Amino acid sequence: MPRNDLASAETGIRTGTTSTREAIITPEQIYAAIADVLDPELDETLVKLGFIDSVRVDGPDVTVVFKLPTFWCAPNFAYLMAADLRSRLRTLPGVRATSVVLLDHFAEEEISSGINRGLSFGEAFPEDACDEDGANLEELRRTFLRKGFLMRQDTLLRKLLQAGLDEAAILNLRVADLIVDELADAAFVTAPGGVVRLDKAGRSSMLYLRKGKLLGLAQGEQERLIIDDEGRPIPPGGLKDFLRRSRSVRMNILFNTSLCKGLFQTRYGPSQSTAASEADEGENV
Amino acid sequence: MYRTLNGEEIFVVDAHTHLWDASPANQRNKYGRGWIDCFYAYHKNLSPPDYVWPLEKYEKYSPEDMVHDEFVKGYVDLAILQPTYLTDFYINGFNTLEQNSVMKKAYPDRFILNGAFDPRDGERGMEELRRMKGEWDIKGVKLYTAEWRGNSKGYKLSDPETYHFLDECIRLGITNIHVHKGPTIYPLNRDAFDVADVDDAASVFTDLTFIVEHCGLPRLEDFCWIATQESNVYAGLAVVLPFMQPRPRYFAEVMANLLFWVGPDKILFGSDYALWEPKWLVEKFAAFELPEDLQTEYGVDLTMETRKKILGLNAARLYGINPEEQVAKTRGDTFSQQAEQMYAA
Repeated sequence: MPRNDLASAETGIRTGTTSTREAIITPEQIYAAIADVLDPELDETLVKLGFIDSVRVDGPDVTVVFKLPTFWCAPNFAYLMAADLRSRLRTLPGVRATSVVLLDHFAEEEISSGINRGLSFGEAFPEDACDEDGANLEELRRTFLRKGFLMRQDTLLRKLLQAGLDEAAILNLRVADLIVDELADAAFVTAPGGVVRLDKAGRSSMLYLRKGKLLGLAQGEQERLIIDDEGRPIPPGGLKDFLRRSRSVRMNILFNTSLCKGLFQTRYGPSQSTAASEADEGENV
Repeated sequence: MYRTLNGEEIFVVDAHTHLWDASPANQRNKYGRGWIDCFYAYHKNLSPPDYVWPLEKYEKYSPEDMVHDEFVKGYVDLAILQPTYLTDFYINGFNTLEQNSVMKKAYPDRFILNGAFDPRDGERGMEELRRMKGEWDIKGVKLYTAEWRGNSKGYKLSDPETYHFLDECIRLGITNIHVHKGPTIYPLNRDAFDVADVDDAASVFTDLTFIVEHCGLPRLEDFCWIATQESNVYAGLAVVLPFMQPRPRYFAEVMANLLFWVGPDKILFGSDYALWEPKWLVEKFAAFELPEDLQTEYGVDLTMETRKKILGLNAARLYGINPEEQVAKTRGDTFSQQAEQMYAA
């Protein structure tokens, strides 16, 4: 539906007779539906990164157009993002046809048409002889889920240390000891000496718990709060080694994010990306 | 030679340079265009404003530009030319051994010329490798495992065909294997950032040194793990260094990681010229220090001694270069004289 029709639909004035009231979808609904789609490698949403170029609504048919930092961005990652966009669009009530379009990419045709035909990555690139590992995007997704988990955990651990908790106290914490105030971006931890407030740790803590859940790790109220990405506790005295690894994971993600955001802005101009806060926060721990 | 403010002299080897031709006349297809546009975005995004070139110059610069930027302006004593073929994208190739050899012919004391092989070229490629050794006495090769070759979109160091070539490298005395594992172009059906194949090859070919260019970014943590397992795995700093400017904290974290996992003797300075110019990279790196919290957490320090190793001594060791002799060779040459004049004022 062209923009002027859309505006009139929003104000309740019907200009056409073909669409029914139930089938009207707004751009805001689309943005809400795709709000949580991540660039898996950067662990940041496409919307915040500015990668969503535009959305189009034509009656019950919807299109999302997205673009990436370089002409050469890895097609398997691009395919993951496109697949996630498509699956979110299909949850919109009243939606009929969905279309996802990738712009300015060397494999834009294969990716856009493959996704819109519901093909797997391997089916979309048949002549490229995908091996088992490469074709399995779920494995890739899980790898980055793990990295995202460790990154958020690193922030939480460092905030706990900065607040003065020692290793034994940290490793003894239970899931129920952590309460998150997302709005204030703060976390509250019940430690042996009382409740400790951790500023700028709310978002990370929430994502840490969420990613742990997605990884299928045990997170009952009385389970340990700090576990590795396989669900195992950190051995006593092992926190220092663990932190070196988790820092390198976090640092690597932030480094990539900085590179990709810079390239995206060089390509499409400044003010395309709004995801500055996370990286800045990451620099301070 | 770089002189610090208190007069200390630092021997500089730029271990990663190119003389490329990405001019429109040499572009074979849209991929050739896309390749250089992507390089230019890296250049523009991470260079200080005074060091940003116009696109036209960036597509094709002259040998004179290169020697000036490296040896006069850029403090470099010796530069290593690393080829990137990309013959599917560029009619005459992007930056082949033949293209780079122009520099070696004109300034033999200032350049080390590296070759390349591609295991998918079979016996013909093997002959070509022997020819490179015979004609240029190459001591190293640069491998680009994500390079397109017809229908094939890449290969692995762990492929049996690659082993065949690595065996030949040992026989020929080509001991430095530079592997591009960094921001890459086409990890289509496999994760070409994946450094696991380096681990495999490095553990089998213990007589060879594997220099992982760009430190395996964006998988630095995986790379660090491999480098601790295999003593013959080195880190090339090309692409990592320019982050000193916009993101010094990230750069410091990367260096702390590399010093902890890889160690000060196995890290090489490289500008990736003409991606970036060496001048500002050398100046910034020679003065770069690690923040205290990272020193404490990792138990490492980026001392002047370590910076000297990274800026030149480590590469010199790998290529059998004696720094004193090398400096003596070039002391009176035109570039040294011009550099003296430029920095005397």
